[in-house]
Amino acid sequence: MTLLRKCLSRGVLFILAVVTPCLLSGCAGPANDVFRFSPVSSSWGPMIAVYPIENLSGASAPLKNLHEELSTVLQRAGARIVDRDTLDRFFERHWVRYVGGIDESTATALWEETGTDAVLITSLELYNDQSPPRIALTARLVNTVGTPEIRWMDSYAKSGEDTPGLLGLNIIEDPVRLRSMALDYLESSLKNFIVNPPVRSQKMSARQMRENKPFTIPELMARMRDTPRRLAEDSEGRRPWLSFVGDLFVPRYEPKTWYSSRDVLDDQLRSLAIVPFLNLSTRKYGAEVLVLHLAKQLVIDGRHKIVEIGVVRDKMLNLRVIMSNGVSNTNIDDISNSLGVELIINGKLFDYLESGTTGQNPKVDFSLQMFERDSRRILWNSHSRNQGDDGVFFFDVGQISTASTLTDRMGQSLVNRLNENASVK
Amino acid sequence: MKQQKREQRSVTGWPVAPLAGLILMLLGGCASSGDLFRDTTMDFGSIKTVAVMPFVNLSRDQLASERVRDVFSTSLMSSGALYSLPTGEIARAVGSIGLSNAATPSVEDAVKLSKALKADAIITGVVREYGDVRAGNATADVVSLSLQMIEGQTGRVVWSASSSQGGIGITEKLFGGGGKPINDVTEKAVNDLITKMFE
Repeated sequence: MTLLRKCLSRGVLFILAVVTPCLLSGCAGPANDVFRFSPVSSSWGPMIAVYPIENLSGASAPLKNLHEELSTVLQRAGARIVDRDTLDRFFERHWVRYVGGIDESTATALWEETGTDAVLITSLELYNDQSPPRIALTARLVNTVGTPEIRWMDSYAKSGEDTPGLLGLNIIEDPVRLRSMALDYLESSLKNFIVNPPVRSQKMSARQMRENKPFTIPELMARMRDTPRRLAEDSEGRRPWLSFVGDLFVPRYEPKTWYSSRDVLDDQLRSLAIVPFLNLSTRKYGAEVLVLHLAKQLVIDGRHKIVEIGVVRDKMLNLRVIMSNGVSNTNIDDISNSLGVELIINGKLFDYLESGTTGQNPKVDFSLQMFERDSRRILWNSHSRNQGDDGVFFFDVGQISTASTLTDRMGQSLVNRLNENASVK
Repeated sequence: MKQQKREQRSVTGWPVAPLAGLILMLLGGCASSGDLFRDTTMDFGSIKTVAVMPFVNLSRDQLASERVRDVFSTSLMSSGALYSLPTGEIARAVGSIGLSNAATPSVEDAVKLSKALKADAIITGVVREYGDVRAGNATADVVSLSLQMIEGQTGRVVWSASSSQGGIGITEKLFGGGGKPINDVTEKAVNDLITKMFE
């Protein structure tokens, strides 16, 4: 009897302990930052120009509707948006035709003429309104003051059949619902970034250090001289956790083969430019999509400053850089000097296959190289290749339905591996 | 007495004959393959930087040579023994010296190219087969390639090897199935060649 009473009293106490904080949290007023972004208060945050959506899906899509819905969702959340007419007039005045990125001069003009603090650039990677509907969106926030850099970046990819649930009750067949889910996700992610910006470690800027250093001829000569190359150490060094068990359970999406010179340094804040990849796949805009996902993972990682993709494109056009087969030493010099970056990433896309209605798996295959400004050497070289059903054994658990999600996972694994091989001097 | 000895010999001779045959077969497996050439006078330790040239493509897949070259280049670097020059830099050097056929350079071209690239050696190759092969109902992917290493200073071939992986084996013939994916087969062939290079 006493035991029963004890159990009952403990149960009541436990329920109370769980319920009370929940109720109290409901009574608490919103945190200051959250309140500032909420629609209740006057709008807060940077003035954002929402660029028209770039279509990288290779098929027709309701871009205007998507753009309007995105602007509405952001406005509803309390963001300060540059109105459509002002932006259209600006586009006409400056002959802006490329909306997949922003170059330095356009960013400066936008800031000076419309007071825009940041630009939201959105790319549509996949759109299908036939059942099951599918969507993949990538958005990034680029600052307009100073050299445009990517401050925030996120993506959303979903197929209506991703989570069918019991008896297929959770299958989404309405493309509008899927669209709104994507836009809501991007809005909440952006809001979260503006309200609670990530705390980055304070590192000295490599560019500042380089520019403040007095120029001397011997140093220049030393830099130009071929220094003995640091080769990657033995294979065990590349995988510190290497063991019999470790080799059996290799992470699913990590690069199949990679080389690291162990010179990917982590002591300073280095700028990084991702130059357009060579597209050898049959997918139109496949290389652009891959670049976006890699940029996203590097922005989330936060170890490097990622120069806006539009700025890199603009500089390469101005310098008449044509890369038929990858980056040469001259290209490295041109790009690094004009952009002031320390690292350059380039690569090749071999396969980018979307999952089709016939049930085929998405497939992505690419190689990536990272170059260093001064030595013009390859610091990192890797080859990644995966399919949507990699590591799936039972009942499609862990199956990936879109190439966008697959590329994202592969990019994440690659950046993790890159960081594992980074060293602090 | 003689008859008895003869009988004894024939009794002991019977198990010896198949045993000898089996040993011969096993030893045959240990014999070095004839698809490997290595210049014994060459100091391979002096080679640090190589330029992997575009491969000749004899397969049906138009991108086969580019795919195999990329896998080979990355695998070679990941071995940690050699530095493979960026493909963009190789393309620039090929253009600057006016090389018409980068996949099969002449001795003079190889010397010029290695000087322009500051490479110790040049690697050329031929993708002989890349894709699926059929035999009856069975289908499997096969990759066959051969590589050559040309010394940068003299332009002579110092190493050459070839490898064929995949294809229809007994398992595929008996149980069907498509064999291993083409990328896995490519990696296997490339790794086989790299092992041959360093052995």
